[in-house]
Amino acid sequence: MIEVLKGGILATIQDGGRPGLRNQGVPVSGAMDSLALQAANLLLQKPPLAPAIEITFGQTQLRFQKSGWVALTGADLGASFDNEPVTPGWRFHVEPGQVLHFRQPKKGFRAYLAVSGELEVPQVLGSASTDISSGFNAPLATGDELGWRPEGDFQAPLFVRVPGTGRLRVLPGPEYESFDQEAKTLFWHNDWTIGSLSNRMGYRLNGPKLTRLVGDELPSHGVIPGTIQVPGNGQPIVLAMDAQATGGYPKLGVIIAADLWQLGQLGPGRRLGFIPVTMAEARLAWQQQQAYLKHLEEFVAAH
Amino acid sequence: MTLTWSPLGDSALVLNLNDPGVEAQRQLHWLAGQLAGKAELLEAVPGMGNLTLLLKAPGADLDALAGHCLALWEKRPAQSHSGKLHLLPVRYKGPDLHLVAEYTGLTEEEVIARHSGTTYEVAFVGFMPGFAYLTGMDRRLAVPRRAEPRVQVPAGAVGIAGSQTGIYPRQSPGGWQIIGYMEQPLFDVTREPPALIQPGDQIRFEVRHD
Repeated sequence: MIEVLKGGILATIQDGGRPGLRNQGVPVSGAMDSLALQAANLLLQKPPLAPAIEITFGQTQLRFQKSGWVALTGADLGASFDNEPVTPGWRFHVEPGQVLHFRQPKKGFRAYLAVSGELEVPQVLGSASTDISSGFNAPLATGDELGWRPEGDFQAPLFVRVPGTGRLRVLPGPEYESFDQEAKTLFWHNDWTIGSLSNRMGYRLNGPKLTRLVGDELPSHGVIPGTIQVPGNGQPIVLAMDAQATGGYPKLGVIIAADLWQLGQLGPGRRLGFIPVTMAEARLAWQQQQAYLKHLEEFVAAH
Repeated sequence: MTLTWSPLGDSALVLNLNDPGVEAQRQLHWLAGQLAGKAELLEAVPGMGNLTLLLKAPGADLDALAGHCLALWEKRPAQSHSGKLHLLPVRYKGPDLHLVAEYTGLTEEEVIARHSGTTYEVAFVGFMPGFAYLTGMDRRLAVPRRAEPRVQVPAGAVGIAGSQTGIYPRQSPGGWQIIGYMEQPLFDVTREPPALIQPGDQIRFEVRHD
């Protein structure tokens, strides 16, 4: 069992989400930083998209009631393990009564804690992910007890590094050409600030106003996490993992699949920038990321 | 009527109709059905006059996939309706019924008769789990949204906003004018598929008095 001593700002269970149900109106959800989730699970030789705890911003406090192995990845949220600092990237052993305490972000925004064996959490439509707006599962609350069945043993703690965040690589969206030249230039060359009304559904960006050549209303269409929409006020919204399945705002661009995880490490008040890429570059980036995960899996197996 | 396409990032594409109507929307649902089970495809999501295709993993050849879709589209049947007809009982006792009557200049009975006297067609499902976008409402019933949205609209509430009508699948904030309620759950995670109403289905509201 894992005892939630403090729920914190927002801690939820996340896995690979609920892909394939958008035509039922169901958001995909799942880990905001899927790369960190996969790294945490691979450190424990588990399926990469198995459920883990996503800790947003910090304040969360967990007490382990069993002996087993855990892995911490993603943001550095000032975590300490029995009062010793622990940085992301580590797999380590826990004993009954030991406490993992997250304070506040030093780097990044969301940390992931995976546990060896099984986390006993309810599945809704094939996923343990919490989706607050759809009402599927709830965030961790102070006093919650998470069922845990540890399995497997490792010889020693292990550390892996994950890629750092940078400018987000973007492919032009279907309505890209409907924006005027100045808007396009501003979009690529300005650093945007993530607004305070940002969450797992979407990030509202603050910056110069982007205008379109045509002001037509679009009929509703499917949208995906990473879609950069521009509503009438000219301020972009980047859709995140809990985004609704359909929307109607013009799509200026889409973050490439290999960079989507970076959104998870950005939060309100942070700045972000975009760079244009080609489809071929996007494909290569995806292949490189898959190769990195393969390498990580082999590294863990060899240690 | 032509079907065009554009990429949506590296793992999706959007098919767009330039001049959609009811029959074209049915043909899009037919196309979505034809694409179901295609190996590299995660799903086809209908919108209003468009269809978004999502890949299982990035990297597949979007041009080839789009080419396949455009070729299928050329073979679409002229009459393609295959959706289910749902008869949904509604108690027309919503708090905004009198307001809709006042705004439209109809009596409450006339509002109910017009709202329940139409066969609606589901253009697509989106916004929230199980929320169906219906087409075919009587134009006389169009009313503006509430100036101040309600904090909580109960699940099953039947509402009107502009020229649209729809049902709230779950309790949520909402600005639609609520004219009635239905009891049957619209979304059930234990059902397969979970949404009661599917894209392309038809709906008739039945007046319940008890």
